[in-house]
Amino acid sequence: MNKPIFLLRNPYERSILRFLLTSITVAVFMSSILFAQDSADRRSSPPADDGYGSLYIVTAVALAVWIVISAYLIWIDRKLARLEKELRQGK
Amino acid sequence: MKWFDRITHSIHILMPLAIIMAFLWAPPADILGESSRILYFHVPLAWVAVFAFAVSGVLSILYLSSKNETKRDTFDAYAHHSAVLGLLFTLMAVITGSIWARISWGSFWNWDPRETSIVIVLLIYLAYLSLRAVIPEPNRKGRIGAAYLIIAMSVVPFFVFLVPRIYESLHPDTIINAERTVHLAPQMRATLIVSVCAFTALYGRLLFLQGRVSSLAQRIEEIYDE
Amino acid sequence: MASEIVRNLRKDIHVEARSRTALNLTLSFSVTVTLAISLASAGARMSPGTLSILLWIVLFFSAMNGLSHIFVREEERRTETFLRLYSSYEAIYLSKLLFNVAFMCIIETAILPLFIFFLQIDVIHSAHFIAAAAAGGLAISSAATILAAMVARAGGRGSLFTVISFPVMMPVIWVAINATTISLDPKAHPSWNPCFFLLAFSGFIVAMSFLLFRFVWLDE
Repeated sequence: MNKPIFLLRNPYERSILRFLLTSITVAVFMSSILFAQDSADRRSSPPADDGYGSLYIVTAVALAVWIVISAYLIWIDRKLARLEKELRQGK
Repeated sequence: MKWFDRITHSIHILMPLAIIMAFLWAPPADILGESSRILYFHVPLAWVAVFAFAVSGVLSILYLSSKNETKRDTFDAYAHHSAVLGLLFTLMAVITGSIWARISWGSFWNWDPRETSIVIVLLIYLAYLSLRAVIPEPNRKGRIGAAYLIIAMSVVPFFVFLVPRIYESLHPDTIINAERTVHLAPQMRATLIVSVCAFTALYGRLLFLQGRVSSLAQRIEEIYDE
Repeated sequence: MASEIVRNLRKDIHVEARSRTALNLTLSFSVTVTLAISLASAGARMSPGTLSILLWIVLFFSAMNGLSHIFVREEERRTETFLRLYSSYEAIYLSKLLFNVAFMCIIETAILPLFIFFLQIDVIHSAHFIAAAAAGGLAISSAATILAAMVARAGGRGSLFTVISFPVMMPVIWVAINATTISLDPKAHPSWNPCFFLLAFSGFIVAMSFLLFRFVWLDE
């Protein structure tokens, strides 16, 4: 095992912290999105027209956030698979 | 277990679908308006919070009753990870719930039955994680943590039956329940179901990833120890 | 096994009677808090709801002060290994449980008259009041025993006991406050249901603790 392992150099508690941070970021983003959406709602007097515009923006932001999270999850998954394969072959 | 792991990969499709359905497809609710869309995030978060609690409890029971050494370690690790994730989802459920309460009823926190129950679950999680953090030996940590979680878990049903008798509910329970049976439009119902599946899959994904990380870390530690 | 339980109980009572640390500390704490409340309220008449909330807060925190002592003392004095070898875990659990229940009775016997005296409480339905206090005390001490064992095995740090006890004891405190409020209210019609609930809770917790004590106490 001469290659340094990026994720696991520190105790695994650190990776829990990463997940914690990711999830808190998600929560903050989602909350701010929903708040923004609601204030956009309130400011416009006729609800029908303005509402849909802001809904599209909100959806786009939420999807963008999710794509980042999704990419992170896929990256971790690939990295773990690689490490597991290394360990299996190393043994 | 492998099959569960594979199924949680569907999160990459389910979550964008849930987001699009929640914001664009589902119609706004009658009285609550556009802010009712938070429902599609708050309800699944609260559901996963309780689900994670139940998973943690079941894994604790399996841990205490299992004789196989490696299986026991896996049960213990997953129970702990489930508790951490459950804590996160509970926090997010409380945050989204408070935001919704502020928008709908004007105040962030009202101590109605649902809110109180989720706070109890939060406190149990915090107590469980504090208890585990304080004990250094892994064997003792696992056993005492599992015993505590089982006791706490068995106290929670007392609450579920007790709380509605003591407090009157401010929660849109009656509205949503009525909606669920009578007034919830099919589109709303479909969106809610997709959203619940998406968040459950997210929880499962995070749980399995975390489990793999910790088991890898343990194996590497063992190799370094040799 | 009954003789083992009695023997353990007598040992615990003798050890406690020798130094009386836990008892003194807990009683001092409860008296101090009661006096502080009375002083701070400056003789103002409080509603039954407020009075029962204050009473159960004092009882809860006094319990948190004293009920972990029975196990923490064993760990501190390193006698727990000997105890583990000498007695079966069932006998240990039951003897500690009886000790804690007795301890709680003593605390309540000390606090309730003080409370009534200093805060000018008019006990309207006295039978219900005493029953609520007794049942609540029993429930708190039942839950506290296994939690005290856990805290002792975890190192016995001060506020850990309170942190882990609060979620488990919340139904007890809630129902007990409710029952006490009704017994102090002249307009209310008291029922025995809260006391039955508390007794059922005690029985349930004792059963669960009895099953789980083995995992907490023994190191396998």
